[in-house]
Amino acid sequence: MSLDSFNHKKDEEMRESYETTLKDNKNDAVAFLKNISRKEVERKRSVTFSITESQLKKMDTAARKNGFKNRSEFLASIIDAI
Amino acid sequence: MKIITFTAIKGGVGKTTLTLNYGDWLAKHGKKVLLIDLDHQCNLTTVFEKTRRNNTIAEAFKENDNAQKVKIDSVGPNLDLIAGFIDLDVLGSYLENNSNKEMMLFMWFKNNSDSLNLTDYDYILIDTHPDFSTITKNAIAISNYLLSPITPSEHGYNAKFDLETRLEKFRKSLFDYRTGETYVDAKLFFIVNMIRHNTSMSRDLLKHIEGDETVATIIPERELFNKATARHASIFELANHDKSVLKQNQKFIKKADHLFQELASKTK
Repeated sequence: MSLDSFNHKKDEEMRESYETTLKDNKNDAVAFLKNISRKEVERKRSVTFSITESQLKKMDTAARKNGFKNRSEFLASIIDAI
Repeated sequence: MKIITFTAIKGGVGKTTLTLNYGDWLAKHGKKVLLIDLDHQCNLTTVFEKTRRNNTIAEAFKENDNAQKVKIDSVGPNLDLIAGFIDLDVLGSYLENNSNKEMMLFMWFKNNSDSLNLTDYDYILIDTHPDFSTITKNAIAISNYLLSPITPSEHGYNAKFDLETRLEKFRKSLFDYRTGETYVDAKLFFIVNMIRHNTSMSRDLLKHIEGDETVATIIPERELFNKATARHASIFELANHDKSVLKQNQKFIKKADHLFQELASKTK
């Protein structure tokens, strides 16, 4: 490691760091903002669907374990991640 | 006509000061210059006039029905200004859903070139906010040259890589679908700014950038730049009007003339 304030190795590392971060489109600001604005404008609606007792139990446990307020929030988060 | 944008991701590196001084230097060398303040801080505008909300550059980013006419103010011999708008950042955030959001300034130039005699200018210099926002991208998209000041500090220098990477990504994202050629063909040069003769960081940086062809010129740090801006003038204008300033800084004014000559030869 060079102790120079400016050196070519450091330049390369810095360039690579920005390239890697900026290439990551999945987590860019536009994607993030789209998600927020969609949540603000969309209304929730009630739906009925069927799952088995054990699936429901599994969902409740996972929701609690991951800090979700209820199973609806947990399910919404899974769907958002698709 | 050449369009030059002064841009940098980092703030406080001298974009506005360089836009003002280079613009006035060009004007004093007989070139017809238009300054455009695209920074919502409006610092370039306040050098010449009070801030306002009407007929500013913001009109170029509005839909036709709501837009007023952009006004070009004469602020000196050969030197004109389109004033900045203090809420340009807010306006910018409303552009996000517009499909041509990065080409709005281009369209405005195209539509107003004749009525505002924009092609009469030898140089159009654009000052931007320290960011890579939609508004700044609009300036980059219409520019022939980008001049980015870098300073002798860790973050002042590393911002160079941030800008280079974002610019490359922007070039790839904005292209003509028929030909595959990018619309963003501005050449990027760096201005090594605020160099001190007595610090190791300055010396190290000078050594490091030796032979770097992307460096257009090297400008030393001088209190004269601050003094001139505080008196709402370029260093050349201040020296013209204040004989004591000229006497004290004669050597530097001569050097600055040479440095801007160097810059002009890179951006002609």
